[in-house]
Amino acid sequence: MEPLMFEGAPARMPAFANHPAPRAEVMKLNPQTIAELFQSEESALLHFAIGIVGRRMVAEELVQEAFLRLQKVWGQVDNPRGWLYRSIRNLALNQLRDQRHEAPLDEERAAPDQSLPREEMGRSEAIGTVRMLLAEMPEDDRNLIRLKYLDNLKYEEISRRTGLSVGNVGFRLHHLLKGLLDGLQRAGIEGSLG
Amino acid sequence: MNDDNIPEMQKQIPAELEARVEAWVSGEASPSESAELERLTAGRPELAALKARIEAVRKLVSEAVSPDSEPLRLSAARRESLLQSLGAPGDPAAREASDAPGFPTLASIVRRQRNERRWVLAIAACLTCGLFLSVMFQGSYQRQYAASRNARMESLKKAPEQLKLEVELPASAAAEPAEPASAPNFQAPAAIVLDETQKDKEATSRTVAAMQSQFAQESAAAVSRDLAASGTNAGSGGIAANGAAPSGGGENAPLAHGDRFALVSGNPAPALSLSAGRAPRAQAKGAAAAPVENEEPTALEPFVVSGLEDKGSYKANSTLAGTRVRTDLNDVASSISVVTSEFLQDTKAAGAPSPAESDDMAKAAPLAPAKTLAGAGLEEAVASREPVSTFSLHVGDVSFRLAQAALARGEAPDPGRIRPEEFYNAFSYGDPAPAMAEKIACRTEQSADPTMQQRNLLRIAMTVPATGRAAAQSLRLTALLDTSGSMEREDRAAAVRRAMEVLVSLLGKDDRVTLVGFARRPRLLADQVPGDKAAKLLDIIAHTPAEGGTNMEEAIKIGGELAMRQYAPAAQNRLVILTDGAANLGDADPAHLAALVETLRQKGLAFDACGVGTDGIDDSVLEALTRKGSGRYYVLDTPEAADAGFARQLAGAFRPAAENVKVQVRFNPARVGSYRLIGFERHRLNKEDFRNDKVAAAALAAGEAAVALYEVEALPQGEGELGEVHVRFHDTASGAMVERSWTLPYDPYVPAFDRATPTMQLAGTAAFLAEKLRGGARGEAIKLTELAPVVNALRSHYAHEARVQELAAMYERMRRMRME
Repeated sequence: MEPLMFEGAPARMPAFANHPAPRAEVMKLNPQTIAELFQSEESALLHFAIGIVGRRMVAEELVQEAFLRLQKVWGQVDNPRGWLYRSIRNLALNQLRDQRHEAPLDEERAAPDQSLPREEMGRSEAIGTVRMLLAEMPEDDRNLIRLKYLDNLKYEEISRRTGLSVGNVGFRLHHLLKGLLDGLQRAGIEGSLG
Repeated sequence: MNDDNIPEMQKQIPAELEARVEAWVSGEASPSESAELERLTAGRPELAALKARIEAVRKLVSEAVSPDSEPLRLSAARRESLLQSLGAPGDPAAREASDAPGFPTLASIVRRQRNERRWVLAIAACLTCGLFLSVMFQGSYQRQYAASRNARMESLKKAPEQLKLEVELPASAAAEPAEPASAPNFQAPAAIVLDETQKDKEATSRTVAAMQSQFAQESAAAVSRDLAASGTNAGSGGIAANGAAPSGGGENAPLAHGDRFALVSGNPAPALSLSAGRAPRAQAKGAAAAPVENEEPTALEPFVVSGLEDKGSYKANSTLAGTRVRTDLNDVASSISVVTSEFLQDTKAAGAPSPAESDDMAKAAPLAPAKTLAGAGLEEAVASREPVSTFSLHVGDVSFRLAQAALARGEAPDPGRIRPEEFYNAFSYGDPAPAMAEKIACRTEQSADPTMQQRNLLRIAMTVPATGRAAAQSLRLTALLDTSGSMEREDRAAAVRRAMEVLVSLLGKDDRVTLVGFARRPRLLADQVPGDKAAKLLDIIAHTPAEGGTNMEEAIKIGGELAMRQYAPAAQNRLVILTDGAANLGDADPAHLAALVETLRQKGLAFDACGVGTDGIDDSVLEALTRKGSGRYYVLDTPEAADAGFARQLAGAFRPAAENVKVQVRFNPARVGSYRLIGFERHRLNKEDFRNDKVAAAALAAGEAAVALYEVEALPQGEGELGEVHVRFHDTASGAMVERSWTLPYDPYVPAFDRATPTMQLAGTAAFLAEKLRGGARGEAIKLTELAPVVNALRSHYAHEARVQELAAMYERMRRMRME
């Protein structure tokens, strides 16, 4: 439970105006404050929670709850982003479990709330799970995934930017994808993969 | 070499094909490759399914990395209060920035309508919440939170009535100054009443996000640059430290020698009389630093081993051997310990020449006792008949990793490749390192054996001090690199490149490297390159074209000749082979290759092997060659595997702290009914080989630990201790042979396995899984289900040790496959 810090690297980097931007443009630094983290993950986490519990209001409550809990342990969590996704997932699953015991109340509550269609829920959950797994990856790996799937770069281009060999890029991406596939299966999301 | 379609691969899609399909799906494959895969897929439904899965997960991943097309936000009130409690200034800042050019909002009409409906609810919630909050102004956050929760629930019922407040709100909200610190601060509704405003706000937040991410990129850039820099620093620091060690050690050396000799001479009656065997390897003599006395065995004083105080381990108050246990060697034949048939096969041993007959070391090794039984080593030995168990203390993890890779592919590992000692030696047990003046430490612990009645597990761990001074020795390395076509595969090429990088990083300017590529023919790629210029080898490897075939015989012969050309008596002279397949040209007979390696070993060359990839390597050949060559055997399946552990293994191979490490356990027949050494079948030695320094044995690197596990039947009605454990090795720092012994205490109250120490549980579990995979009667006796509690305990106790987690995963796979 050590704060996310690399040995030898200053905790916070000043902006380098006069240094040329290095090649790994897409590598996002982890947000420095919990509020920044909230700004960047709010939507994704809400989608994820809705994907599991199916109801917007409950999902909002879970997201709020997760951030409040994170705040208490802020500084002790290695990977706050990964932590958040895991928490949301656990909270949501707990919620689903508890919900069975309060069925009657649910019916009246569910009416004004927007329940999402099943397949859309499944999709949100799957995407959320992928984001969770991505958040738990080492930064370098996540960066590779972004270059490939967000920027849609070819292996050669990725190789040029990262300094890895083309073969290595293909190899690592393949293993990352396989890892994600395994992770999804473990999370019980195989079905939505067709 | 392994690219042919081997029938067994048809069941499971090979990893390589998976990678090709993925490259195809991501549009990286060449047209001809695409056509080929298309054709393959048409004929194989499992490939089509794989392709569909890859496509699906790719789609998911690209959605996951993209920003949401419909960004969601918490309801305004909740958002605001949350942001406040998270210590952010909230939205005012965002609103101020709204003049900055933003991204166009792409929200569709439909979505806007949906949003409106949501916002109505949200506004209602805000208002109620706001009312509550203004009442409970001073409330703590918990109260606020509860209030908003209540408010929301009420608002769901009262929404229609409260909507009329909507108009009033902007004014009141606008009237309130933005004070992030004060609790009931309600600007948000102002932003959300009108759709236009909402749009602005979205735009704003995007702008902010864009700015943030720009900052993030810049600082990420800086960080990554910095990390890179610190990485190199660390790397060079490591090398520098390595380089510094010898000189520091050198200064200490004379002192240590002085000490030792003082010790010896001060020891009035050395209890041990050691056979004055010359160290078999010429390089063992530290040329200048080693006085003549170094060649004579050094008797050390009795010593104390500090074990951990917890239950199961003990403080071994040492004794020198031989007082309690009778080990009279009246009958030489009966003293011979177990030797397996494979061992015989490997050595091509035909007779049983006595050590005295010849100076030739190969012949000097008495490897073929007549009484050898097939499957020996799997049977228990009766202590009254064979009280002594001797073996070469070999460490490695190849068998574990190969089995793990096979299980991960969904295949049952080949029982012939299961070597239990390489399972339980795949883990680090954190056994205590020896005290400064000691050369080796021993820790023992016991527990009940859960799989067999009346048996205890006995774990013996030997640890070499981390401050080896052998680094002063220079290295003469000859690398034999397989350049056959299959080595061109991306992952293997990457793994080899990474491995060579690690290797090069371990070399100093006094070292010499010769590089030989081999496929159909061996070719000299680089000759006697100084260690500090070895980086150029990487380029040479990258530009070496591939060929077909694997002629290991020629490679070993030529490699041996080249190695002899750069042979230096005072250096570590080693031959290392990197290959991903089996020998298929020349004389590929394992026994013949082993004989070649053995001949080289006699000339003072050690032989290491690095298997690349886990699916095609000829495990039994590489294992036998490295055993004959007293070298290391390791596998590299991914570039990531070439990590710190790999570097340590290489360093261990290049700079052993203890060579020719042999262990002899002498059981007390009065206390022990029967016993069995788990694993080490191919490393067992004859009883008399223990002190015959011409018989080669394994080496340990500085700081390395090796574990041996016994099953022991302790007789409760018996007398005395279990026995004694002796270790004998060649200390590379001093050049002397060192021998030590410890008592194995009898403990009438050994803990049950599930209450034993985690280290005991880990070693035991690894050994049981190996036995299970190996099958046979012993494997049958092991019930995987009964191990579940211990595996769970290990999983949580070693939560941060990837290896142990892998072991647990392996256990799960085995349970699934065996349907237990």
